[in-house]
Amino acid sequence: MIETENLSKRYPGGHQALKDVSISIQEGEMVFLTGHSGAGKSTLMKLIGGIEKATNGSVTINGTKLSSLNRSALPYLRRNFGFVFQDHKLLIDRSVFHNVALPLLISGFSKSEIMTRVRAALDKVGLLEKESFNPLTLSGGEQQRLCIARAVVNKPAILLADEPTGNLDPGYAADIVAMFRAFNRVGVTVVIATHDPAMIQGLGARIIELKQGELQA
Amino acid sequence: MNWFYLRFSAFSDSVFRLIKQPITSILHILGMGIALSIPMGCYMLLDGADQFSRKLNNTSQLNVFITADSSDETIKIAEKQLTELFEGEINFIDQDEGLKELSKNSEFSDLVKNLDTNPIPHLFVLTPQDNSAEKLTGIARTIESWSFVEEVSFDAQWAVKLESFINLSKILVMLVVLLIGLGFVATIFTTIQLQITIRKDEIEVARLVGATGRFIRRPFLYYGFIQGLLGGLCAVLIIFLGLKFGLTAMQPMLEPLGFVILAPNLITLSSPLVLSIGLSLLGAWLSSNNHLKKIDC
Repeated sequence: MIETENLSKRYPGGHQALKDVSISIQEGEMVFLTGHSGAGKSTLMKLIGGIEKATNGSVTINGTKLSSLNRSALPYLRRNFGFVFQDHKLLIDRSVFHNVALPLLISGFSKSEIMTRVRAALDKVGLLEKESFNPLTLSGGEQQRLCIARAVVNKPAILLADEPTGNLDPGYAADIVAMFRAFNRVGVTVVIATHDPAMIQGLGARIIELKQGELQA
Repeated sequence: MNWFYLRFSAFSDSVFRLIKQPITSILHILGMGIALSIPMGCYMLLDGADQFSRKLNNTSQLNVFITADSSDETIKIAEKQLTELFEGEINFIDQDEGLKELSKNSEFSDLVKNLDTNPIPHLFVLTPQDNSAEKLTGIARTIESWSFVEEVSFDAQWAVKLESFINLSKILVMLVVLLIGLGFVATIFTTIQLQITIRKDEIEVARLVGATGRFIRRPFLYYGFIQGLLGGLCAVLIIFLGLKFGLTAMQPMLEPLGFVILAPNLITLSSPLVLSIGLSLLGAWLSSNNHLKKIDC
């Protein structure tokens, strides 16, 4: 489902964030990308999600090479992904409901379908009663759950989470990991970048380790 | 339904953002209106002046003086040649008639009585039907070259100069419109950049969850459209009020000169509106596209 081949990324200024990374992630798999800060986890996630362009090598999603897609096709590919960020990237000028509704609005769903799907996603993450709240009034754990609700509302095939428990205390972190596990059980491919060893323990998921931009054996 | 809902929500969002900053929006729209109304108003005044100069040209006459000692044969030849060359009314005043006219004037009556011979030349008065000053000047030059013609006087030569001046002024006004147009695009570009900065997070998230360039551009285009529409309407209002009150006061002075500014028609009034909307949309498109290119790199 996700394949990278000799993937490299060098940023302007010469910093080599990723070097010759070749990985393969199967459909329905749950994978952890681990490594210290600056190992290249976030860069790899951005390249897989088509957020940034690789300097060398290729990313293939469901048989489609990202480099072969033109600019106008990329948004449609991104609709296959659900993104979860450490800093949540929530929009504070709108309610919890409208934050989750955004991907559906973009994908062209009808108003009634948006209502149904948003409420289902909020229910799944335990925020249904707070749909009219402003995201700023939520706790850190709730904000992360809201971010997850927005990521899954479109029923994506792939869920990419970059340090999803980075700012959370262990109790909230365990809840978030359990949620990802649940999504994976229903067939969603889940890729989680983390430097937190506690998060990985006992899940039995494959671990891909990066060190200074290179894949560790 | 969803097509309409998407556009309606983007449009209402743009209206809401304009209303959210009422003073800024009003001043901006007023600035746009004033900037557009000045050159457009000038252009309308020049158009009036142009019609005035054309009117002058059309009522002008060519006086062709034939040498006093010309025979009847020469007069006939002159008449034939003039008929072939000139489209319009040709009146002949022979030298005797001319002298009679001159003697009617009390100042010259004694002088005329004492003349042994008639020194007055024969005269052809040519009144053009619909000839421009430029064309008449050409005709006058041709007639002047004929051997039996003593002199050709063209009483509207200054109208030619006026027409040239008006044409030059029109070009200058067009240049001002062009410069203001560029300023317009630059202003909208900056305004939209400001809106983009305010909505940077929203654009980033929308891009991440699969928004197309069209989806992201849409609210900014609507924002530019609304500003252009309101700025254009403001310009139309200023021009309309300027013509209504300013010209009502000036009309008594202009009327004796035959200078009449016609009430602007729908096309004339809609031109600042169309220009304003077009330039605003261009500025908004350039600005949003510029940002999209940056974030796609």
